[in-house]
Amino acid sequence: MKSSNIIFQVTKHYMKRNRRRTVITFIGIVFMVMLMTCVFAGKKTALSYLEHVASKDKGSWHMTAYDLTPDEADRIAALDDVDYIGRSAQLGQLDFAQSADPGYKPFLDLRAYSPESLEFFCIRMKEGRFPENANEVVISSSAAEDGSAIQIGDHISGAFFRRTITGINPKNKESVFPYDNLVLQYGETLEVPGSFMSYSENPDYTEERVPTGADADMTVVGIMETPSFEKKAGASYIAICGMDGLSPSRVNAAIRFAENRSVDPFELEEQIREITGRDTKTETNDMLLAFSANSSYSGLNEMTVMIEMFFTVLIMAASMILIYNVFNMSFAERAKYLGMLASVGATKHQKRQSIYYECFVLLIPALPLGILAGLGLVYGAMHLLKPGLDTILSLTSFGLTEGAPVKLFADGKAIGLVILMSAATVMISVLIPAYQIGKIQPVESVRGNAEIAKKKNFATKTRLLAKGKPERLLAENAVSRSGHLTKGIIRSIAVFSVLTMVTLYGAQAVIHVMTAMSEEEGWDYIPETFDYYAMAEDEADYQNLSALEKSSIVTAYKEITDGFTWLSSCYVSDAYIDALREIYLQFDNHTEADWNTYYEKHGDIQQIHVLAVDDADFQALAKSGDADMQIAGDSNIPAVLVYNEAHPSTEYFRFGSENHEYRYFTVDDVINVPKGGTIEVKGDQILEPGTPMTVAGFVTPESAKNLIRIRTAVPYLLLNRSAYELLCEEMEFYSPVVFLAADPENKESVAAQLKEIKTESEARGSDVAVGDYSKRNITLNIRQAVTAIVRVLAYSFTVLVSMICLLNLFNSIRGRAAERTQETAVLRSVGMTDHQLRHMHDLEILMLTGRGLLIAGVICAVLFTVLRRFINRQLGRISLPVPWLLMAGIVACICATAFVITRLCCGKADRSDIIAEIRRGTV
Amino acid sequence: MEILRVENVVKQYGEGETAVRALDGVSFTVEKGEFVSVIGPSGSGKSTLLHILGGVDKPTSGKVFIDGTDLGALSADKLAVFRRRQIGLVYQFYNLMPVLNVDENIALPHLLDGRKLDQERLDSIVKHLGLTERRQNLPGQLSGGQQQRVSIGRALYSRPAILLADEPTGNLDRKTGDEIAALLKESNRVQKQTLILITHDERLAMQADRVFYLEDGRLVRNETVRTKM
Repeated sequence: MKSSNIIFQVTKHYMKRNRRRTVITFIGIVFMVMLMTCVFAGKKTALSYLEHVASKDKGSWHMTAYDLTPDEADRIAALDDVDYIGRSAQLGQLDFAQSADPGYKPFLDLRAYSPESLEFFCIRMKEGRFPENANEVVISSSAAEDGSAIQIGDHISGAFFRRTITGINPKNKESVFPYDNLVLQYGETLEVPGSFMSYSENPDYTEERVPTGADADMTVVGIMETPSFEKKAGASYIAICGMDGLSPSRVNAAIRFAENRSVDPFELEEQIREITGRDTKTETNDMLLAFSANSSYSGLNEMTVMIEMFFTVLIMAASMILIYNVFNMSFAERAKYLGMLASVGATKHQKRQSIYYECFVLLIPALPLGILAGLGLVYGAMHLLKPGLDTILSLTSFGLTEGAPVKLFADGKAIGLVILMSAATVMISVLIPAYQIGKIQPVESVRGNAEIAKKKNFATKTRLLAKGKPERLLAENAVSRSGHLTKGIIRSIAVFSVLTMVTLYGAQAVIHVMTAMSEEEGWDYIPETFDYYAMAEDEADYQNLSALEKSSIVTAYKEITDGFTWLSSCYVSDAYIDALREIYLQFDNHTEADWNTYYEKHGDIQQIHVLAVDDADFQALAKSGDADMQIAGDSNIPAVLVYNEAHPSTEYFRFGSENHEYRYFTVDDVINVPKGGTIEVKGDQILEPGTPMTVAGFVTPESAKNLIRIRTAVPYLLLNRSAYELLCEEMEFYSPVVFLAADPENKESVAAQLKEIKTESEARGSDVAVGDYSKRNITLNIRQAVTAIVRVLAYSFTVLVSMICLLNLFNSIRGRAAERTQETAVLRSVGMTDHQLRHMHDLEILMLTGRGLLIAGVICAVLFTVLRRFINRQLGRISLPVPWLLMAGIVACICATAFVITRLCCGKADRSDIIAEIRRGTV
Repeated sequence: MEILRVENVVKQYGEGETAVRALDGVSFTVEKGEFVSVIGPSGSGKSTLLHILGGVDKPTSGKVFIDGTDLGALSADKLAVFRRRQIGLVYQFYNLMPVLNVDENIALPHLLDGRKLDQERLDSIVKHLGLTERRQNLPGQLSGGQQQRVSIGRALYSRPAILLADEPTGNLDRKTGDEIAALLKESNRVQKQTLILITHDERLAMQADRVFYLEDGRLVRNETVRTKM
């Protein structure tokens, strides 16, 4: 028989003898495998769910290449990176004779889709069937909902055309259409998309039609649900016909990436350009790709990979400490029997083998059990979370009440990774115990002195002796002079705190970044004193609404007006300009030289946002912020308050057609005019000089939080009434938003009046928006929904990580209490009362928790800094506030948990039989 | 003056057919300052008797009075207080607190009683036990003999009414065992400390004033030693 077998046999014998310890180790390993499974299978399951959700926005395609010849589309379809493509063609626009609102929505935007494209763009029928050929068409249900007289069986005919606009205002150097990514110079003619709003009469540009030369003669075979890409404010309703029977000269190809390949979107774009031989326009479905860790925004890719790595490392760390602690708890006993083996000739290597043997013997059955438990947990957790996730989805503008299906993903690769990572984790976990065991000399082991402190002398705590505080003496010494078991508790508390706080901070950082990326520009009036809000669309709407101010049943009435305008760059801070420069450099491989040229040409003025509030709100904002009340309080002075925070990003500022990196900045000092200084606001881009106004002071999101919340990429000025009236002469504001309140008994009457105004507005062809004030922010965009889902998943994961840490802490405290029953019995035998024992345990855990938290504080500070730097390096300057309150809550929870576990475990140990414990071997 | 009275003490483990009587109607008295040794074969009930006398175990029936106090009538907390004030226990395997150094271990029962340290007494005990050089060492850093000295110091520090020693030399070599025995005898002789000693060592047992012989849980002999060795 080989000597190594003897080692294994002895180890097996001790494993059987110490069933409780073996079972704990086994549970620890099962738990680790389960959590690994949660990370790898859970990630895939959650991502597939999120992918499904994200596809509700733009569709399930990964990339679209525009304006291809049919042959080029075929060659793209044959690429290795491409699974399959869906073809579509922009046929042009048609006059929509049946439109219920010809002034606002006069056109049909007609596209031809192959069946794959219908699937890619999530086209769903409300009535009728899909179009099968070019003579069959389906029309967006929004047309029918708006009152258009269209139904299945109707004929659509006419000549297709495209629309162009030409700049005609010599005073206006440039007209910017941010939502369509268009900049129109004076005298220039640009083709506009079908969704472009139709202003047939305006001073800045004229709109023309250019016939495509093709005619339509189609039958309506169905009414489809409004496609997500149809713009509500656009001039057209979407209509889709089949591709069969059409031979368009140019097509678009929506591409689905090959699933078994790691496709780099940039490389695929290059391949497409090689095929076409020109700079082909492509678009990537970034939200969808982000969840396959494959977005064209590398920031999102890295973020997804980072999240995965972050949580894997956390799970591994938590599991390692758990297993390490379990092995460490049995150090004394293990040292003894392995020392005995060493005394009869076992080598260091053989002693270590015993440890490896034990953990791998346990790992083998733990793997299938852990994997099954993990899959069950993922499946169960996703089902448990699904109602909440579905609720979030139902709040989106798409109203996805059915949510997305939960499908468990557990492919061979994921399971292989679980096995590999679990084995690696177990191996790393036992390296130190194995090394320590290997170092123990046989004589130390046999005498049971393996854990004796190396320090020679331990000064008597005369202070405590003199004061007669035995519980404190015992507790202090137990904390400072003990070995593995006590250190195990300190380690558990430190790990519990670090992992929970870092997970929480990481989760918050991820959520913060995602929220920042998903928040839309705008402002929100906070006071909950109003019942209704209304947004006028034209002057008549406004007159009707403002008449309500004098109504006896309206108890409060407020108007807030906003608009875009301009400011000379000399008033804008360097930090803001720097952020713009960094954003500019992300586009089209721009260089510093390009920026200098651009800035020289366009940098003299900056776009800003202005918001006019009434003088009462202006003064309230000034008071809560840092403002000169002499200026703010004088309603005759045209004054502004600077909203001193802006979030420019590559999402808002598109300085080119292609950006490689996502960048997002938080600029805290946006305007460089001091309090009391003068700022000249320009009514348009060319007016010289601007309208002078006095800067009353500055407000921050924090100081303004009770009154107004603003989300802005550009500088934001809050105007008092006087400043507003002055600026009205220079620029055009949007129609005011009106807020109304009524006594409870009159609420219904006010609602009825608002309904009347809406009906009248609709009859006039306008569309005043009215709504319940409390529900004004309830609709989420798809990004916000995804962010909300990520938030739920991230917090669930934090809870899961906490659970391992809790198990670890419980194990450590229980293990120490179990090993100390003899000490406790001795203390009881020399006259320690139950009350004194409890007091001693309380003091001990207080000290241990204090030490653990101190260590955790240092580690957390380092990790937070690293995490913050990493995120800021990847995504720009993002403020990542430390969640102090939550962290304080975590610390309180950890302290309470440690106390409860101590009471539970030590209470049980304290009640053990004194005699039996005293007879149990030496201390 | 009677310091210990044991009345018909029975200790039974288990019930029915599997019942084992570790002590079967043991009765005796011990006078203050007396040195009694208890001998008997393994399993005769010596340690059980000592634990019952020390208040760390309870008899199935019968009564134990120490200095007039009925141990069975005390609540758990009162019994703990009684133990630290009136009883000194010395175990075969020392049973010291591994995280306390020599000084702290010795003073422990006194401190548990909420009393302040008597430095003079501590110094004198440490000196007497020959542990002056090891006062700041933890038990794990001491030899077996030194640990047993600390254990004796702990038992004596509070001047208990009765000192109970459970085979205190059983785990030591002969020379060290003799030294420990000498310390115990000295405490009995010089400080008039009542001492009940359980031992297998007949030579040591014969140095007592009286020897109790236990067999199958019964006190079969209670002899006064005529000639001390």
